Amino acid sequence: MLEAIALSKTYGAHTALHPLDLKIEPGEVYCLLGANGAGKTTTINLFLNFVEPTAGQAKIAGLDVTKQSIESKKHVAYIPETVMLYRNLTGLENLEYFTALAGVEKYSEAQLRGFLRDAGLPQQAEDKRVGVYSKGMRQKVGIAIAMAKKAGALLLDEPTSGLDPKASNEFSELLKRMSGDGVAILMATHDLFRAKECGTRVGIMKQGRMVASLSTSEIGHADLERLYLQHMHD
Amino acid sequence: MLRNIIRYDLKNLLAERSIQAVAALFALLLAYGLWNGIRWNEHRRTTIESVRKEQQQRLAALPGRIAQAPSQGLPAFLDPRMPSVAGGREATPYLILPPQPLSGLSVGQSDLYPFYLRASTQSASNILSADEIENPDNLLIGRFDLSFVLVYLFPLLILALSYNILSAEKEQGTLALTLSQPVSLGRLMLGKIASRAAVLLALAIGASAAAAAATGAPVLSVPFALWLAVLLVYAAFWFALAVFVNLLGKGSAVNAVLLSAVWVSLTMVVPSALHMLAGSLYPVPSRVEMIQAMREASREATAKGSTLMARYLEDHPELTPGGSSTVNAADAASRSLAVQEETERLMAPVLGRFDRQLEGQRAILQRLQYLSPAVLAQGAMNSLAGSGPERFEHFRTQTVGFLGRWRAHFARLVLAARMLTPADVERLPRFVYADEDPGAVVARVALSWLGIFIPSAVIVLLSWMRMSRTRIVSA
Repeated sequence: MLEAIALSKTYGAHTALHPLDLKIEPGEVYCLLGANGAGKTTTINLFLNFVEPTAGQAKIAGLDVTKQSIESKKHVAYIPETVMLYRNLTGLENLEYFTALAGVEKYSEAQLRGFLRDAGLPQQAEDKRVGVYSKGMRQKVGIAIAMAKKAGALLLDEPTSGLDPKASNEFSELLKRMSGDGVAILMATHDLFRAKECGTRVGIMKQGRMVASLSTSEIGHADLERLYLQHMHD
Repeated sequence: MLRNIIRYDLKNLLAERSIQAVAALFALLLAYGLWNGIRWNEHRRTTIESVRKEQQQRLAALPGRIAQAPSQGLPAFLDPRMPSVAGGREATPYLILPPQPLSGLSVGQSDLYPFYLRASTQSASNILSADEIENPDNLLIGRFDLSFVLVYLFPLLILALSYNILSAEKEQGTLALTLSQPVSLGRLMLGKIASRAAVLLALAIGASAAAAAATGAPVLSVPFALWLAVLLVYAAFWFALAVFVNLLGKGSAVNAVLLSAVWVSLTMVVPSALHMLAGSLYPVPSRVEMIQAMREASREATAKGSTLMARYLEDHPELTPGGSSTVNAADAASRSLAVQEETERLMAPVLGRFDRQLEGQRAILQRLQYLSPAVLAQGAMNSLAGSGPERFEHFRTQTVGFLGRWRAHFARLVLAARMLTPADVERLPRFVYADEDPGAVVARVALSWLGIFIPSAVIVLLSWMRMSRTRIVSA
């Protein structure tokens, strides 16, 4: 569903991403771990065609994201680290707008409210201007937008930052559910615990290189942490 | 898709206080411009009406007064039967430049050039050409009318609403989520421009239609359609500029500064510079100098006095058919004709120089106007409203021709020593302004339109080329 083939990105002399090969099948949750600047966000931006690859290919549902940019985006939903919405519109209107842009089926208002509730947005906030929302509330609208898109792939850039532990836990449940529905998920995160809990695979990145990639079933939480720190200290 | 972008962007925009304020301000400015134009138009209409009425009453009474004159024993300078009295005062017609249907929309220079004058045997035929408007601000901007609002202030409002269409989305962080949807940057910007254009153009077109309706002009007419075409292409130019600047990838503040600088250059600096350039390349002799020359010429001609008469009669054999037996060379009226002609002969080189310089200025402005869409738009709007310099020039040429005919008509009577009869009043030359060829006006407006369209298209093309290289996220 999500595929990187020798995908790389350099800015002048600086290499943000060394050639990366990665394949995420439907139902897989791949967690990218690594320090800031390790290349996690670059990888996600390459999949979204927000930055152009220096070499290699990124594919979503078999579509090259640079050549079939618009078409590929129909198959992917995205939640950035900080979801920013149109401040003058309500949460519901924002969801309505982005869903309309996504070009998916037309939902009824009740269905749209359902998505917001599933994402954990308090009901009384639905009709308030997003300008008064907290970061966590905006994040939940972002989750609702991603769910409503019903895309085959999901790109997440530290989506749980700003969520309280309860919301964070609910989010994990949500990811598990989506993975069960056959969605391929690529998530950049700092949260080793969350990665172990809801990821099927984890990759550790360092200075633009994928230094380790393993299945979460092969490793315990403590071992994952040890492995991670070991790579960071090298 | 595009419809959704427009709809939600409009919703988002209208919730913002700034656009409400901008729209309200624009509406206010439009209304003020509209009112000014209508008032001027009304003033012009009533003035023309009253001079027409005065002329009609005077000419209607003239045959009766001529018939009664013999019994009244009036002195010669009051006797309406005398050709000099009739041609100089009693029978003189007004030469009127009638307003056009859209004249209320753009006052242009119609408040600087005379729109009517009184023909008289005494008027110097060339004196009209000696009008030079020395204050470039008046010439450039003119009255606070609808065209002023549309040409100078409308772009500012367009820029106020569009200077940050892309930069704000980047700064607020909404761009990433938007462009993760299957929508291209081009379409997103098009949608956002469309929603802003909808608000501003609705006001601009509405005000134009209201102005046309208020001055009794037909809305379904070629000039009004062309007016809208000019308005639309002019708005497109400024929107395109805002899009291009946004694609440079700078912040909102930089965009605002850049766009204001362009606005100031195109609406103020370039037009003023053009006029200064034209004025320094083709300096026009001062009016004082010209009036001085005229006095000089008049004095010289008067001094020559009766010696001029013989030459005058030689020059105009057609005025004395069947010999000059009836001409009284000592007659004051005949002599004044000769003196007047001599004065004009002496003045001709001075006025000619004046005309040539003005012509030179006009020609250079004509060519350089393409440097500023604002100048082009103003010119096109003036042309459509019938208040541009071309129409005044057209009117002036006809008045000069008419004054010649008028003078010749009375010269014939003077030299034949004839007095006017009541029936002669009917036979006096009449002036009817033959308006410019509509085709020529359309051609002129079409050229201006193209002059705005081509740079707009180039800017759109450049924007299109930049679009693929625009960074959506910071590296």
